[in-house]
This record gives sequence, structure tokens and C-alpha cells, in this order.
Amino acid sequence: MKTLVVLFVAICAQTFGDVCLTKGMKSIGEVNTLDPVKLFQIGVQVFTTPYIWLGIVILSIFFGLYLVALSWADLSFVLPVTAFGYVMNALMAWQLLGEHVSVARWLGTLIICFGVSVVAKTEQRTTRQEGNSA
Amino acid sequence: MKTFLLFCSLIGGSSLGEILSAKGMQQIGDVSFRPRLLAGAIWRMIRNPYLIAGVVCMAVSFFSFISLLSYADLSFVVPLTAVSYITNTLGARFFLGERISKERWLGTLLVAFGVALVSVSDKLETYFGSPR
Repeated sequence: MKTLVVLFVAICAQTFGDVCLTKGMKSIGEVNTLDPVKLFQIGVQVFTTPYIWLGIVILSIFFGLYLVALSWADLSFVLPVTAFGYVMNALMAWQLLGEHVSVARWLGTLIICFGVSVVAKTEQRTTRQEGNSA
Repeated sequence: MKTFLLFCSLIGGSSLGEILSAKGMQQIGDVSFRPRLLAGAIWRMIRNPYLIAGVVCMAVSFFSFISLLSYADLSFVVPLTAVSYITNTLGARFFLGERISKERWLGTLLVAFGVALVSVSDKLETYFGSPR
């Protein structure tokens, strides 16, 4: 149970972090130059955008929680469950960003939901721990 | 050919990265949220060779992804990443010794199929048309 709770928080952080990164990059505009000087200027701009920093911090929290979940459960359990992020993304795109979500995308999202619920019911850990528990 | 190599390093890097970090976390053992124990776990994590190698692999995979995106069609690249759910589960079975039950395989295949469908959904819509 605690694994699922931590993974849920991690997925929320991932979705939110991605939104921040997208917002930050959109404010910079499309990158379509290979000129080193301009690329450097864009790089400086990227690292002085608050949204990008916020996104990086939130995504680091996601990664930390993801690793904690891996210390408790199988990789083959944790990984499919994190696909629940696609469901969050569809909901965010639909509700918060007001995007058009196609029928095929809703169908795929439903199938992911179903798959995640099947995996979530399986035994979380099938291997013995090598290290001592901290 | 270049696309194929980049694709291999995208999928291979992410699978290898996931497996190495899972291996590293197996060695670290159960992480607790109590502050002193957590600090100790973090200290052991940043020195764990498997975790470091895992993060490097994920970085390689990420840069392959960006390079692919710089010239290939997004709707071609993204659906292919659904394959990584299957390669990762195989890796967990053979390198980490996890026992994958039938239910877990079924769920994983459903997830991979759903992810592929989500990522081709925009293309499907342009083919078949849909009222906006």
C-alpha cells in the first residue's frame, strides 16, 4: 500500500514538473538554430527561467520517490504502475490546459488504467533483499 | 541506419538504466522516511556504483531521444518507446531474478499497448478525421 501511495505522489510530481518545464520552454520559444553563440544565449536564458528551475526541482523529487519505491518493490511492478502518468496527463490536458483529447487517446488511456490495475494487484516483491534494511 | 542505432541506444539505455538503478536500490535496501535513516540511505545511494551507472545510461538514452526528435517525426519516435515496457520487464526477469506472474505480464502488455495507442492517437485522428 505504501508503495502505491509513494508512487502516486511521484507521478503527480512528474506531471506537475513536466508542466513547469513545458511552460518554461514555451516562454523561451522554438529553438531552431545551431549557431553556437545563439545556442549559448538560449542556454543562459533556460537556466535563468524560474519555471525551468521549479520543473527541475519537482522532477528531482519525482526521481527520489521513484528510487524509494524501487527499494521496496520489483522493477517489473513499479514501471508499469508509473504509466498511470499518461492518465494524469490526459486529464490535465483536458481539464487544465483545455486541449482537445481525441477518442483514440481516451481509449489508450482507459487501456493503461486497466493494465495498471492488473499489475497493481500482483505481489510487489518477488526477490530477496541483498542489503540490510536501513 | 543512424535512426536504427539511435533507437537502439534510446531503448537499450533506458532499459539498462532502469535495471541498474533497480539493482542499486536492491543493495541499498528498504529506504525509511525517518530523517536520520533517510540521510544515511541518501549517502549510500550517491556512492552506489550501480545507481551512478544507471543514471549515466538514462542520460545517454535521453540524449538519443533528443537527437532523434531533432530530425525524425515525433509520431514515429514516441510510439516506439512503448517497447521499453516489454524490454524492461524481460530485463527484470533475467537480470534481477524477479518472478513475473501471468497477471503481471498481462497488465504490462496492456500498458504497453495503451501507451502506443495514446502516442499514435493524433496521427489516427488526422487519417480518419474527427469533428473539432
